[in-house]
Amino acid sequence: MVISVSHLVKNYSVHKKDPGFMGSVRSLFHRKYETVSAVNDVSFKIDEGELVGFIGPNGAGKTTTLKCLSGLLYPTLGSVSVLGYTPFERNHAYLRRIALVMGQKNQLWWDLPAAETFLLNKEIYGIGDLEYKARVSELTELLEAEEMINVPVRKLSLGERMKMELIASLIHTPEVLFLDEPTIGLDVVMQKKMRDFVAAYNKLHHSTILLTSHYMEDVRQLARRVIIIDHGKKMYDGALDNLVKKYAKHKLISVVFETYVPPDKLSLIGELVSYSFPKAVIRVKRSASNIAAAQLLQEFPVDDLNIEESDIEDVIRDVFTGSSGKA
Amino acid sequence: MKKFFTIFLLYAQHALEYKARSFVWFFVILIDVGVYLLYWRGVLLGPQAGAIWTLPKAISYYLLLLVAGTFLQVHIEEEVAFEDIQYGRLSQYLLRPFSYLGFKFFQELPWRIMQGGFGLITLVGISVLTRRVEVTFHPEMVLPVISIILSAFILCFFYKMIVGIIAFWTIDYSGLQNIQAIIYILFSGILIPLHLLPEAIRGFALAQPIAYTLYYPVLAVQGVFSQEVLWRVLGTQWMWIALLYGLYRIMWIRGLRQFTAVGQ
Repeated sequence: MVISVSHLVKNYSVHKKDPGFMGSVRSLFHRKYETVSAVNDVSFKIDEGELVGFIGPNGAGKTTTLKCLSGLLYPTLGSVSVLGYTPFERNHAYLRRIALVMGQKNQLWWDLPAAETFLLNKEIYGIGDLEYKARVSELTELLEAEEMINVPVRKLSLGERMKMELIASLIHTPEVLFLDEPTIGLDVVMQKKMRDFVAAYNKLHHSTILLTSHYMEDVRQLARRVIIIDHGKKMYDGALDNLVKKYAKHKLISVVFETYVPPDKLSLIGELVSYSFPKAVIRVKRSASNIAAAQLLQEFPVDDLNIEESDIEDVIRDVFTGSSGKA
Repeated sequence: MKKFFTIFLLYAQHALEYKARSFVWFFVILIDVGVYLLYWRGVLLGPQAGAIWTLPKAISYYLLLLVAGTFLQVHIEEEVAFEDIQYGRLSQYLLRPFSYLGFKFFQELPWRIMQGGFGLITLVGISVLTRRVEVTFHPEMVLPVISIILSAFILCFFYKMIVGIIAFWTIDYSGLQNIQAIIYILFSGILIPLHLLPEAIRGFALAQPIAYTLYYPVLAVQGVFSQEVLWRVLGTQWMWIALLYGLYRIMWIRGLRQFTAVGQ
């Protein structure tokens, strides 16, 4: 077991003020604080070499959990163990074995080439010259970034900076990698390159990776297991495939017609998601999908028909809306 | 008219929210005026001080203060407070296996050397041109004087780091920083030599740690102190360094529990 989180709670105390001028006057004498629970009783375990997707809407508690795991934040309650260490003790031996990469922030010197940051990290992590050269070579090759390391960071594009950021964070070959939105703001081509890199790195070094991302494609391509968190609470922990089976309330029936069928007739079968003759997509209740398919075959001139699982994003949206009490 | 009243109420709320800052700006003006009153009091009512502080000595004092200020006056506190703590860049340091304190120390050093070099060139230039700079040189005092200068830098570094990490506990750091800057200017001897301060506060001013970051090192270079006093100044500097380091460690450990790594 590489990561073990048990009943993790992280609360923040937030100052609350009533609206308006009188609210400010009242706040002057009686300052009100409210406890906000960012993470509420979250437990999970991750084995060596696993690549787990950690997903949830904004403010769900994903980044707070990653910060607790990497040792940036002290948990309010509960216990966290990574590689046998208690992260917030920030033991140097522990820090040598992990890395936290945040998509929106960087550790690179803006006016200097990224190679200077790599050299600093080489000294900080005590990496020998030969080993350093080999690692930089491996990482730049994987990321196709050989030409960029000697260019001042300010002259690099967002995607190129992200590549440099990854190299700087992985130069010490961490056994555990926390990736917080590594593809945020990148175009689709660069997102794919990043995904390919993370997959290759995971395979090459058998490193344990916990990944958060708003792009479901990242999670779909990289993680077999997902942990879903919302309002600080764990909603699901298991295989991505099982998530669809467990939470998908609907299935999609994709039909190709031989002759034109009025859309209002198709709406009687289920929710018409799209219709551009000859192809229509109808969303039906999961339990009634076979009946709906049979009805389509009997009543309409069907040339081809497929029953498909709902899109993963729709399923996750269902999980979130269900958790927040919305219909 | 109602919209202007709404604007007024909105900024009244802002002022109430940042009441500490409002007080600080009042305090800044109060201290500014107070410092000049102290200065003129020293000049007009201190005949003994006047006898000691001749014009060449005063010129030497301020020129050496210029060099000491550039060499020894650490300016790390704003970066620690704003960039590292309030904007969350501290995360990048905490995630790597090295000492944040050590990093900041060696980060500051090149700036002091470069700026100190400018100060030194200015001092030498003015000395040659005016021939009014008085520095007493005794070979046996070189070692303690150099030790005092180096210790002053370390002491100032710890003092400024403490000032910086106060940002763990406040969102209104800029007001606090302004008060600190004034206190530093007053108690380091930048405005007036501390011996010119009124007797009531002179004792305190000469004993507190800020005096050992600039004032005593400048007097040491001027050759005002005997060898015995020099060693005593050095001993006191290290006593303050030990105390401030202890205070820094306590604040750092407690502050990290407050750190929310905002924006990172």
